[in-house]
Amino acid sequence: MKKSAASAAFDAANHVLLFCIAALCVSPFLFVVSASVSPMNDVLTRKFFIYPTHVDFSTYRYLLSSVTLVRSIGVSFLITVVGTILNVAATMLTAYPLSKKRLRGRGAVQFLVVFTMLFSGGMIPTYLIVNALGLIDSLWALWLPGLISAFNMILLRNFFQQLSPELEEAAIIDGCNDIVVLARIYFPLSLPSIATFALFYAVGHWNSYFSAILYLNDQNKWPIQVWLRQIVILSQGGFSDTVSVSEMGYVPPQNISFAVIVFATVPILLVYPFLQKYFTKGLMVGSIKG
Amino acid sequence: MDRSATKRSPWKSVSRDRLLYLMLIPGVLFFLVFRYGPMFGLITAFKDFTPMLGMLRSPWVGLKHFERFFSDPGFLTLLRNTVVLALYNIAFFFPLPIILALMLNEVSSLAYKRVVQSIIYMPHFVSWVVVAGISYTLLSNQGGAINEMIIARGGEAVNFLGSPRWFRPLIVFQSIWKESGWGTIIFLAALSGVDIQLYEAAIMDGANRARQLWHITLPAIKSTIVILFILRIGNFLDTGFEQIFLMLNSMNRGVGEVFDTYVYWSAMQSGLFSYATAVGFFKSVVSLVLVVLTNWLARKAGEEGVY
Amino acid sequence: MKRFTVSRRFLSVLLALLAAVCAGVGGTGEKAGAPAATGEQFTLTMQQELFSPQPPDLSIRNNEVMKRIADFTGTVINVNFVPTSEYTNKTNVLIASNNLPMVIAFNGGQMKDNTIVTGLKNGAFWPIGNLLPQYGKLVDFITQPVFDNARLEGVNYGVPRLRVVPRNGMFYRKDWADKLKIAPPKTLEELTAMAKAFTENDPDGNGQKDTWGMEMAYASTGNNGWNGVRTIATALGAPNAWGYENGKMVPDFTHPGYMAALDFYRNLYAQGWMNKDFAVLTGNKRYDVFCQGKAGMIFGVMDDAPNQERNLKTVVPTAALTVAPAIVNPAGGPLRASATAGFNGQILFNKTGKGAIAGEADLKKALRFYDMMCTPEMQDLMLFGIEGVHYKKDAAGKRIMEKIADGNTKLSTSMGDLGQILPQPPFVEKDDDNAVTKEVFAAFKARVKDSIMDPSTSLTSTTFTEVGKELDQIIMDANVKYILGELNKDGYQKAIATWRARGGDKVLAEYGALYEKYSKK
Repeated sequence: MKKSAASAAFDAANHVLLFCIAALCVSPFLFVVSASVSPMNDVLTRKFFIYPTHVDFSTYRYLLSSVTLVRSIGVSFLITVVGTILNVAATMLTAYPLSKKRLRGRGAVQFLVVFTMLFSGGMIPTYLIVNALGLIDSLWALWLPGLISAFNMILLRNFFQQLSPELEEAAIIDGCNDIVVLARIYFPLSLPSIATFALFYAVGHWNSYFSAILYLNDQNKWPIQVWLRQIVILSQGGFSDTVSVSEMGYVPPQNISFAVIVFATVPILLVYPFLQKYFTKGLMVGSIKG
Repeated sequence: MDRSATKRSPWKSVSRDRLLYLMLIPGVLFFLVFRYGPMFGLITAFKDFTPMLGMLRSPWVGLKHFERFFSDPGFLTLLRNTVVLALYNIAFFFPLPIILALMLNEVSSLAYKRVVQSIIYMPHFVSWVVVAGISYTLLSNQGGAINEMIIARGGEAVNFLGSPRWFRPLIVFQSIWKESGWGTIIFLAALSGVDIQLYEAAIMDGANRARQLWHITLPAIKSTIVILFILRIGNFLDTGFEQIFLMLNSMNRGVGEVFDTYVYWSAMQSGLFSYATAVGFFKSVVSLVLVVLTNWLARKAGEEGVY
Repeated sequence: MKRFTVSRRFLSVLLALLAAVCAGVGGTGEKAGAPAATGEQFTLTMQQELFSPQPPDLSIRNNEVMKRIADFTGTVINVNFVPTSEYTNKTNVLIASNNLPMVIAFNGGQMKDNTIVTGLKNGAFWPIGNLLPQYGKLVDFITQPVFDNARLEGVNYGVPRLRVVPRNGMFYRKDWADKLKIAPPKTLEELTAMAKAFTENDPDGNGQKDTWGMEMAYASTGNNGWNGVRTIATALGAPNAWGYENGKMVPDFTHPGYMAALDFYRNLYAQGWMNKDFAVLTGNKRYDVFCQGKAGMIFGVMDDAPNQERNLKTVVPTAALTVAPAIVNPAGGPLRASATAGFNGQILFNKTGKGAIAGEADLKKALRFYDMMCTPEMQDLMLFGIEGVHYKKDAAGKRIMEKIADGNTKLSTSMGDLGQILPQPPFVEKDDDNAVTKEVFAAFKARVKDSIMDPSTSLTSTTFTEVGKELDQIIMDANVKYILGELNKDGYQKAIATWRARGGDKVLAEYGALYEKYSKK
């Protein structure tokens, strides 16, 4: 492909601009990572910026030595993996029928879905319902109340709608019913968007702490974000006027907050690159001819 | 609304599509139980609710909370602040993920593209508390990095964190930094579904890159943009509570206080749930009107709406 | 398609996982360590705010201290911990769903919350005032004056959680004061001179003019009692937040002492002897800056000094902090120490829902438990632990607490925040306290008699519940602008007028009425 001069200039500018943006995004992270391996002294006096001047792993040793934290990572993984699978399945099952224009009542259902994005009863009524269903202290209280995100569902429906109708027609001629069409044709072809929503849901589960505290009384079932948040809040101090003097035992060191941030985000950051292979172009090629 | 339905009896349609309806059951159940179920809680906007008495036994007060809200001397200021911030967001923040996605799409090196992609969504995972902390470190007029640089060049320290003039740009810039990269993901997913053959055909027809962008790339993400825009309008009065709350102080409160922060300290902090629900109810009604309007406009323009 | 068959297998593995999950975690789980009820024993379920980064194991079989408590008192306690960041939300939700346990710890902020106040007035919690005389040890431990202060409209509902009374004060860099030969400051003039010296005379000796005198924070929580403005105002004669004078309730900011405090800071700011960003600095962050070693003086709760000294020493090993003496009122008169109410929050006894205390018989058992926790044996156990496990005695017979890697005591790690829901003294002197800690405790003891308390602690006001936060903001914003120099005295008076019109006068009337009814002696 021959490139014109204008095209090349655009490419150069584009690459440089993207580099600057990436640098702007990553530098606070480099700071955070450096801070997490720096001794307290350096953190307080900001003796470094992008890379640490002295390396000290005591923060990570502290975090990993906590049985609570390590167990809660396992809980977080469980919550995220199972939750995401449930989310994706439920969202697909709902988005697919709504993407078919021939479905009677489609508009009404869609409006009702959008309505739920605008009006909400709030924390207390939702808790009352979860309580009535007997889900308190069960992980299902984390999976069911957020089973389908209307936002994700609407977008997925939109992606389904953009797939060529000829695909479905060809499949029906071959004798497939709706379920098979969804599973065998739409699912593989929409992998980019499904991967996207899987990522959104997974991040949502991984970052959740409020629902866990609300619905789970048993501390052993709390995911890692609960503890990480607790550590960060504690290391900022500020309880002095509410806590009794004899309780002032515990104040985690400042640099712990940074290690906590790294701990909390690295696992989920690794998911996207892993999913990137589903985002490659040209998945449509060959599907009609084949 | 069902444009393509032929004039056949409703029962025949349902029967033909029975598998589709079956697939809808879990979703419908979910929305009924966990979304419509809790909506009975909206009734507390018309009551003086205390958890102790429960929703049924709390006294009915009609429109008292709404009256209090609208007659609050700060109401117009709150409205102005919320609307202006929302407009800033739509004008400056909304287009950026799209532009970024298009820029990334133009990069031919897959490796460069993937690396940049993975980096620019990192800020999404930083909590607002940390963002506020970073803002303080950079912008404080007592030792903040940016101000130190300005002073070193002979200038005077700028009170970024306190001045009302800088508040809105600061908030928008924080949002841009934190969420633009994450926002590109949905567009990149849409773009990855575009058939390469279309580009090849266009090049053979002599189209340059600008024309390819206009005729192939943009149409591919057009419906996604429209839907996201409608939903964004639906959230018009939502400014996000945590980000703004962390940046508010005595000096910029006049331009910074928005509905969400107002509800936090005036209602939530004192346990006045009814008042919080009433304000939320008002916001929801406004959102509903805006969504219906925008959706209708979109449909008139030939686009797919959200319903 | 190959991809699809792989996902089928994947799916079946996950279905198996799901089944395991359902079996393992479904339904209302049993709490680990819940002991079988043995004949004599009474089980008390509790809820407490969690301030630690991990939950303590309070089960009888794993925790020897808990076993001894159970044996001594005949009561087993089951605690649900809730992280502090969501404590209020979760409590409100539990109240709404009638799921509170028998005994709940409420912090000071919650006691003013509309939900709790309404709950108390509507019989959600057991009143205990009439039963208290039967539990002499408990009354003696908490002391009658504190119980009196803790009444809500004349009724005692809970056990107040003791806190140090004269807790607010100032501490400063002793090493800087020694270097510049400045005596401990007692008046506003001396404080100003110290701030000036710390800024201009290079107290850290590094040859650069990079230090300043006072560090202050006025964003978010800045208007609290520990803030310098209010501490100084009280010392100069203003009431502590609210005062009852000449037959009516008045707010502190109308008193000349308060204006004097504001003028003090206004002067410091104008001269450059305090941090320029106080208006955007939050209460927590001010310690961060202080520990970087650039500022010399800071107002706060005095017991923060030992922790801050520890942090400061990692940056400046030679740093030392010392507590400033009580501020003297130039107009003469006794010393006035800005004080807390002597307690923060109360322990309430639940009367509603399935987790409640069933009847007066059980209430008496619960109170008896609290009474027994006030005995010297139990207090000693809670505060020092078990000899050989949590502390050891040195040659002189002094107790040295066993510490773990991060510097905290073994006892606090194994008991967590349980102490907050049991009777505890306001402060505990340990034999291995360092210099500044000893100073802090000495100051506490010396200033108790001078304490000026906030009378609104035991009062409620519907107007304050509705617009209180807004009223506080009006004054806070006016204070900041006045100190910055953006507002002059007339402007400040205008702000006060706004405060009054917005509801302040109503609040004064409501507090006044209740004060006359219940608190006036």
